[in-house]
Amino acid sequence: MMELLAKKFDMCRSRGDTIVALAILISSFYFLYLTFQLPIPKQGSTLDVGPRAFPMILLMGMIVLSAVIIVQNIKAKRICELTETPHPRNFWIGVAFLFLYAYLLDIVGFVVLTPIATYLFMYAIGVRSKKILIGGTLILWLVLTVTFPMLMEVQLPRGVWIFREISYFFY
Amino acid sequence: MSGVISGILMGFTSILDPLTIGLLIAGVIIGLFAGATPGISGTMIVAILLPLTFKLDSIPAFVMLTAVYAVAVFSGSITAVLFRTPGAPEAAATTFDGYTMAKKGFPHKALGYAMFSSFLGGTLGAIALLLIAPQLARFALKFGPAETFALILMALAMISSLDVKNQTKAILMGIFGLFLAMIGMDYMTGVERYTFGVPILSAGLHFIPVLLGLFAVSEALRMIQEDPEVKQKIEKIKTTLPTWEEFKRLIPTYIRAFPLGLFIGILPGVGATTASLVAYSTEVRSSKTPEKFGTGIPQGIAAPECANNAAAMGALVILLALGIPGSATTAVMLGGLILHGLRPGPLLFTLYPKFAYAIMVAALIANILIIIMSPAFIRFFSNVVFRIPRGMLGTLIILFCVVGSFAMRNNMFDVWAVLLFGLVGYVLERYGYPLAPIVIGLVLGSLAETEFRRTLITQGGFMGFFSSPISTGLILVSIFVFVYPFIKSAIASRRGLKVGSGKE
Amino acid sequence: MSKKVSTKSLILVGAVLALVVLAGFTGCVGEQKPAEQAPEAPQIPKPANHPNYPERPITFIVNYGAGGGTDRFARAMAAPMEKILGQKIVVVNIPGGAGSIGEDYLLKQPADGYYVLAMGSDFPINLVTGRNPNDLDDYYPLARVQYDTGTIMINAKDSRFSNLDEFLEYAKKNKVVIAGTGAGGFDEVMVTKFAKAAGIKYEYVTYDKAGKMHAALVGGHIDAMFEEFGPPMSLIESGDVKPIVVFAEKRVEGFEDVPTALEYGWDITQGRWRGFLLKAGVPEDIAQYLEQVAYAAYQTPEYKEFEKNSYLHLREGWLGHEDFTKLIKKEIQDYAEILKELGYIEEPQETV
Repeated sequence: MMELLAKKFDMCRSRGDTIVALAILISSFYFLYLTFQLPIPKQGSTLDVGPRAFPMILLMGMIVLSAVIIVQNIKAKRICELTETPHPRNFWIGVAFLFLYAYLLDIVGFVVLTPIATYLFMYAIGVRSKKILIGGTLILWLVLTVTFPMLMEVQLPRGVWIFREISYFFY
Repeated sequence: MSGVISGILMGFTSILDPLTIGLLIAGVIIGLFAGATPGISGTMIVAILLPLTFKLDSIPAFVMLTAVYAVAVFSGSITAVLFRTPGAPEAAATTFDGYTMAKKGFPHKALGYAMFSSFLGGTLGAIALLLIAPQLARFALKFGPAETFALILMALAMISSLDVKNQTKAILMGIFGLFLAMIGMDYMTGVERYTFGVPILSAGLHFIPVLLGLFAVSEALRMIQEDPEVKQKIEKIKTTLPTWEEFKRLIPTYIRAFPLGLFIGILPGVGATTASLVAYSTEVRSSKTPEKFGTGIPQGIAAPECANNAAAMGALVILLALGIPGSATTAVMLGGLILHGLRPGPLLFTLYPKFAYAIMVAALIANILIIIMSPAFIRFFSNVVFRIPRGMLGTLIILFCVVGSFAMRNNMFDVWAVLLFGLVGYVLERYGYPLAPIVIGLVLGSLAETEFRRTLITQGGFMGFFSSPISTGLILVSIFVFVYPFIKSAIASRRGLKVGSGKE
Repeated sequence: MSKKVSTKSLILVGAVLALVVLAGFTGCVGEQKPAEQAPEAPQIPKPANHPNYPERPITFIVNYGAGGGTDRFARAMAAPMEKILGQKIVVVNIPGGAGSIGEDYLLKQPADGYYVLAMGSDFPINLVTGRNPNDLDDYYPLARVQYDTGTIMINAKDSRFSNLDEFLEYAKKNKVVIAGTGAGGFDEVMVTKFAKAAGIKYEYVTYDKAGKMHAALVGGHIDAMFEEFGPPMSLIESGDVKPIVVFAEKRVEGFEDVPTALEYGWDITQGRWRGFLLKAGVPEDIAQYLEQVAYAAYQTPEYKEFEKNSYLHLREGWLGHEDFTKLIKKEIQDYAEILKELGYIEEPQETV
């Protein structure tokens, strides 16, 4: 079947493709190991297949299919042309900022952190116009603060210490 | 029948006062805004508005809530089409073809298809609600765990024909989505799976952060790579309804999607999101050209949009006729009804006919108002959004996704999930792994597992799946549907035909 | 230049419009200015050391999703409490992990009396199973407000049995499927107790949504379910579903023909309860004040009507701080035994 598929679609070899499949393969094995550690409850129906059965079947499926993709890639004759544009350096900085935002959200709180993060993020992805930077930051902050915590009463993280006090001013 | 007609007349007269009409229109506007905002779901809006309605009579109050509920299901597709950001979970399947069609330069057509299909599905659904709600609800109760499982299985089996260009990857992604649904507490036994002892993980992966991450954040990450100070190309969107010719071509799609959507909506605990994904899968399977799905074809928008609005009405069917909430929003509405001293159920039509018919008529009008009021909203919305420079728009989408994901469950874990899946989606798509099967797998995964295991327990083992003709039939069809693409290609290659020529 | 300005003003118009549409409602429809209604509300002396409490809105954390029983309880109590407190109460749903995520969330907030957790019978169970990794001492049980009454219900059109005796007779020979919501939670404990006491053959199946379970019973896919009176009331009234045994000290009003478990010699009377928790360490005077406020709200006709509509009035719900603490302590001991018997906590739960 593997060869059939490889022939049928005239696969091309792509390194990124293989890396993704490999990542799936390795993590599937890891999760399969975890699945065997899952407790089987004594009580509960004797007819039930238990908490392990479904994940086990799915993980095995993932292992087989990702292996197929890796084999297809290795066997493929021609190398894929890279059509994607390379990432600008700032893109990864932007991504890092996003994760930093999530990390700091519990500490600094939504109200204070959001405008800072917005400004820095926009700067990082290459916005240089002062108007867009400052105006955009303010508008985004206003729209988000009004929509979520104020109108929808979402209890966004308030942060600690003085940041918590500041947040009480808004919601 | 005359009882129904007089009921409908009573429904119309009881909402014919300035306050009720005003609230109905306000409900439509709120629904449009809420649906188009990622992270604000119909459920949240109804929960927020409920306490405000206690000063009102029950009819105007629930007329407004019904309007919000009906319209929010549609308007999620606006952002789904324009930015691949489903504003409401029900619009998940609309991103598959809606966004691609918009990207090809036809956002006005894509929005037109979405709007018209929603209108059609919702209106027909509301008519079914008015005419045969009790009978429909009773019929749906015959659907047990075995039948539900078989139905879900059939939708999952269609993943194999979803991306013909790369079946292996499509199926792998489908299984990946199913596996994501396994994370968290196992409903059947209470065992925690893959939570690494972290309490917030036991709630499992919520579908919305994953969906927003995979589709919206990844797309925004791509958007910001281009010159961030330039404005988007598309401007001034005038929604174009499908022409008569186009409509005629979609009739078979509607004939499949509408009853399917309505019926899935009636099944308790299944919901409009599932309905739209199942309708999409069914459409792929029924199509003679399944490979065209995902490239921006009208059927790919019409089927899910028709089905989700029909499903929203289906959830009202079982709520009003049996007092059973079929979805999260109707559960909140049921709570509100009880606080208003009303108890929907089989006796609702006898005890409070005025209320029952008023709500059903309001649902009908709200769905009709979709086609009347949303063009203006879309024009306003696109006018605002497309003036925003690209860098800021990308930031806005990402922030809305992050905050909106948090808002679903007030859980920080969802913030991490949306960002993580943003990157995952970005990487997967770059290397040609389709994202749609992940969403289908994740939404249907826990349902498939719990219904499977429930069948085993309630029907006394594996034979339970074949205890009814419906489930037996559906399971056999699923097996066929799954294997068919492989058989087809096997036959093709054995005959030595020009393989792959017509496929790519 | 001018174009840019108009861009921003347009966006602002959009934001403001959204705001007006929604907030307009708060104003014209709601008009729930707590201060207006303050005169009608009972006067309770403010906490001695915190005369200004509450200075800002109070948050009710609900550890289940919107639309469920605990959510309805919190919102029904919030309305009269808002009037008495003269402050807004914001209800926040933090669902997941059988309620343990919301329970854990409370402890991550400051112990200032502005966070109140609305929760139910799964709390002691979560402490026993370790799903909630904290300790009872980390919490301050404020009050129990609702005490619901559980029953076993069957499909009223079932041809095999129509009352408890017939059900028992059938179930001693054939296996029956009894459903409940949640695994290893309150419902399963009750079903197991009932089935063991009655000596019947059964399978327990869980449903994540109560509505789904009701549909399954009416549709004939399960034989019986454990449920309280309120949620399936419309189906009881229409003659689709009927209770066959009630777990209470005496027969309940409106269902005088339904026997209690006690009559059959089975000592099963517990019901699902709902109440409030604070984080331990909240100033004593504020905690006492909140308890008084909650009690006053519990006594309002508004709340009483809600209880009656939801069939929660069958048993007296109120337990103050001390009795409520004792109850939880006792339940923790009981559940530790029962869950060990059921095999849920035989060995320390390892989470993966």
